[in-house]
Amino acid sequence: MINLSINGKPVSLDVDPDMPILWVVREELQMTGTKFGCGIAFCGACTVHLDGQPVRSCSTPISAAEGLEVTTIEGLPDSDGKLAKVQQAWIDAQVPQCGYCQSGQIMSAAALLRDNPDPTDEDIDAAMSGNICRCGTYPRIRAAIKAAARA
Amino acid sequence: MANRVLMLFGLIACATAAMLMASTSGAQAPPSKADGLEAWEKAFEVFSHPRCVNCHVPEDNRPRWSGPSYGAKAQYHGMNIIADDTRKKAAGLPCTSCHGVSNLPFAKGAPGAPHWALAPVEMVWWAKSSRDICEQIKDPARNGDKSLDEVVEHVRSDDLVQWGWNPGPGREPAPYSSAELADFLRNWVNSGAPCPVAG
Amino acid sequence: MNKWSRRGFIGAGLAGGTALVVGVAIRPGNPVDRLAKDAALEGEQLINAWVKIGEDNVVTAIAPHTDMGQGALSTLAQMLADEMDADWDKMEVMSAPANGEYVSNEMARHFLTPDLDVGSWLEPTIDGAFINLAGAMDLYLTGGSFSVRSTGQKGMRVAGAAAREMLVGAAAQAWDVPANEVTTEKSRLYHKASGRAADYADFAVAAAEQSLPAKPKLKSVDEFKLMGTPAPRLDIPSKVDGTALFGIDAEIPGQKLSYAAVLAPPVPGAKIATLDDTEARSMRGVSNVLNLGEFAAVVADSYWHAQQAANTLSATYTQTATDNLDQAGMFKNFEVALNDAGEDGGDGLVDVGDVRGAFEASATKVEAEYQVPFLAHAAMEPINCTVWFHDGQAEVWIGTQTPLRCRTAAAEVFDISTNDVTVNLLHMGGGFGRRSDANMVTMAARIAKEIDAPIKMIWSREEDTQKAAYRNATTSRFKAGIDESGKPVSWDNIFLFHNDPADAAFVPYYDIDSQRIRAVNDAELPLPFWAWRSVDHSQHGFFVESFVDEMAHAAGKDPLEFRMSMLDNSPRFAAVLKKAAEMSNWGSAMPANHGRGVALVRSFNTIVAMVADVDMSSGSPTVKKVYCCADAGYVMNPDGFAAQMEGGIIYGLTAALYGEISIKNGAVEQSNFHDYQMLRMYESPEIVVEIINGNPDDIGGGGEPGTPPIAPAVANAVFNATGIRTRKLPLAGQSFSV
Repeated sequence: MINLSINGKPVSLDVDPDMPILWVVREELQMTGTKFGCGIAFCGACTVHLDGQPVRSCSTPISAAEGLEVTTIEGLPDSDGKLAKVQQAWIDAQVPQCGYCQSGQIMSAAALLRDNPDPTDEDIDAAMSGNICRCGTYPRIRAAIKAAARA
Repeated sequence: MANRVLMLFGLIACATAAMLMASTSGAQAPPSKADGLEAWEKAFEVFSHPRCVNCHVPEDNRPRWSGPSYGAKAQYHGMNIIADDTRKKAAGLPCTSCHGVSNLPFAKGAPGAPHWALAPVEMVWWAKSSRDICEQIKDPARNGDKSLDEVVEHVRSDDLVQWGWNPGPGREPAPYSSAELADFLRNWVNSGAPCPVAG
Repeated sequence: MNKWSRRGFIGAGLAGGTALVVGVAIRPGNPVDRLAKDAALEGEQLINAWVKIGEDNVVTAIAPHTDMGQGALSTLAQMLADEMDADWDKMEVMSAPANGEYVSNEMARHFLTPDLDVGSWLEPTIDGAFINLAGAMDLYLTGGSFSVRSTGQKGMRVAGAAAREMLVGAAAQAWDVPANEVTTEKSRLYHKASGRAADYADFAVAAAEQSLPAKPKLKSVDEFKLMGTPAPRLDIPSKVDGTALFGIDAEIPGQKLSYAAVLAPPVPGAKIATLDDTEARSMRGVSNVLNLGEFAAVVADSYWHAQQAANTLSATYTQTATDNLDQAGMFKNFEVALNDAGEDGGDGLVDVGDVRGAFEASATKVEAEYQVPFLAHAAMEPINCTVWFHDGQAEVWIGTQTPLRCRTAAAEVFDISTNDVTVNLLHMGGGFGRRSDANMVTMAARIAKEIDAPIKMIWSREEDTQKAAYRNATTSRFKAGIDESGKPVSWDNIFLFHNDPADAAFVPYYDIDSQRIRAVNDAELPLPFWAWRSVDHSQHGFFVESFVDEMAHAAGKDPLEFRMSMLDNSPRFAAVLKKAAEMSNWGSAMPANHGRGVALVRSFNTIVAMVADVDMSSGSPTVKKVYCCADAGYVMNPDGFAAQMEGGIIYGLTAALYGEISIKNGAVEQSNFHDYQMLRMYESPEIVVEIINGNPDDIGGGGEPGTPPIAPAVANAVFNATGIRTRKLPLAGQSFSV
């Protein structure tokens, strides 16, 4: 059994310890907001937070989360369900197109803003270039991060 | 934090054991300076290998992608990875976001080892000469405040150093082995740790 | 499953438990009673086939398209809502069901025949609109930047206007007032004189009993309230909180899914000769390994287990004709095919004037040959499909551009009628053309047929990159003649592989008297072709606009002025180009090692000019800024359209800088994002978009026209900075040191 907390709720899981967090979250827990993109930590679509730090869940075994807190896109709003500032900024800037990469983008952006509440363009380039968007929403992601920083 | 304390403890224990070993075998004549330089050059083959220099980078804090698996031309790490001065993260993006405690089991999958990070900036090896690296390794101000015995033990036992010989599929390992490198350094240390005059 | 909220998913199979009780007599001709069971939930009333109203006064547009992520569904809803005076804050949109009455012969026959060309006289009428919509339904294909300019203009607007008139008629009847005294605003009906007011929902049932108005009155541009405004997209809230459901997220309430990973032969056309699955079968969670000839599948209790096991499969494959072909050999074959066509061969597409005579007589002759490689679509969501076959019925869950093709594919595998297939439409994690294929349904259905359980098949990124269908590699040759004054007099182009749109290589807007364009189609293409964002324009934009730049250089003219000099008879093109030039401050000084390039392409009836500022300091191009001006006739949602230009530019720039699928021994060499590289945040240029509404009666598309001009604009900027002309893509890896 692996014990951890997902979005504030403790869970005990009888799963293969090697299974990546991504597939545990999606298939065992039916939380499908976290996406599969490449499987080799090259695209960022699967980004979740492990004890507050972003990790690529496709490449992080569930055993690495033992005793830790996993936060997914579903856990980003506050306990009343109010969207996080960064999520609201995403709506205001009309960022998503297909939307598939956006859970990962938002989780990366949330980690950036926590570490650096007022990021420059260079900071955004350094923190967000691990997340691919094929629809080309980068200019709007940049604008939304800046807006969230001001909010 | 707890991990770090344990690790240090382990390091000291090992270093003590190594010193004991060194003293028991001390009956033999010490190697000559020429032998020591020869041993150093083998160690330098390791230290200058892409598996090492790609993360022992200068103040630009940019890990490199060089070596046979990345083609002829050395590149910066893809995805615009530029660490801050901690050399362990960019703001909002720790190295460990992608680099876990072990390699992903397929070519080009992110490599991993415990405490994945760039080497401290004073330990830059990228584009450095054999003499430069030799001097740096002997300088406690630039080697993590280690005695040479501790340096030997560090290359023998540190998890991240060990990764150099187990870099995952699709990457060329560093030459020799961890144990051989430790032997080269041991011989070098025993010969008085000479550094090459130039080059 | 409360996650199957209205906003969460886009389409509706809605099999079972959702029938609307329609206890009202419907006018013959309005088929809402038969359609309702497929399209309406309890408490919702269809007004006509394309719009319904809920008890909560939410208006839902029902569109015969899916959405690849470009917001077309939302824009279609915007067009319907405007004509209907619906409240945008309480508006919804769904893809029409791909089953039941919506795709039945009865529906098609009812609205006459879908193949019928609708005469322009009929278009503004309800019959014309419904024929158009039923016709779109019959195709049910999303692509070609078709949704807004055709379905929206000719269908959704009329359907919305008709619904409004029916609601007004019902209210007028109930209130016993003249219909022309009833006004509408934000999903409410008003009779000012008597002070009466009601929600649309109050009259939904009565409205459905009204006659369908023959020719509902459409708004003129100055009456638009929603059209032409940046109304926020309806799908975006569900895409920031993880609730939007994509194909890969499919779950079947009450059913435990099995998961399949697949392995297809590396060379197209090959089959599996031998399969060693010993290790795979012994692995944790694996329940079955199937050798289906065209591919192998591992079935397991999780995708992870299935894929881990699939990675251990060891297969040999049957031989194919391309087993020894590599990239250089392929381009060599292209050369031979073009050489064989010679001076007069190939299929003549354009032949105006005396090209050969004009060329021979010209003072300056320019000749060049260009080539581009295969490109993968590389949508972020790997290909996947979920299929459950039970009780003689097949259910499919998928994000697709082509629901009906999916339906047919499943029916064929199970040998059942298409009426026994339900296609549940989920969001697409990118389409770009790739998801207008239904082969993934065939594969998932074949697996489901073997294992007798609901199956979710997911391709690894490697399978998605290597075993797909691609924008074709191709070669194009040009000859042009320019007279002493610098005026171009002849244009002669021959290229390989003529797909769609048929006129992608044409330049009728450029004032060149003699033009000849030919295509050669009998060369061998070693990988399967599939439409890729902007289809043939993706290569011809680069070929044509690079060559025009070469002509300008040969003529000793500024590339922008040279183009302008050929646009005397094409004022909309000239206006777009002029605007882009102004935006970019064309002609102003640039920093050292910077270059500026321009390109002008019309595709999908939208004219787009781009100027790219490129920094060559590092020896390879860094695109700093892109100025984009577009004339799509009339833009329904300027913010959404700008987003499509931004996205189209970044998609095209990714291909221009990095895009290359190459073959070795007949197989694709690239496998994942490490070697099929994508543009990332730090490389993403600043993009400025300006829109010209040049003709509201001649609307163009939005999804694709942003892609073709960026590659030539950047290549021309590289030439401007370095004096080095590249005639190949991608740019990365080429040497531009001077």
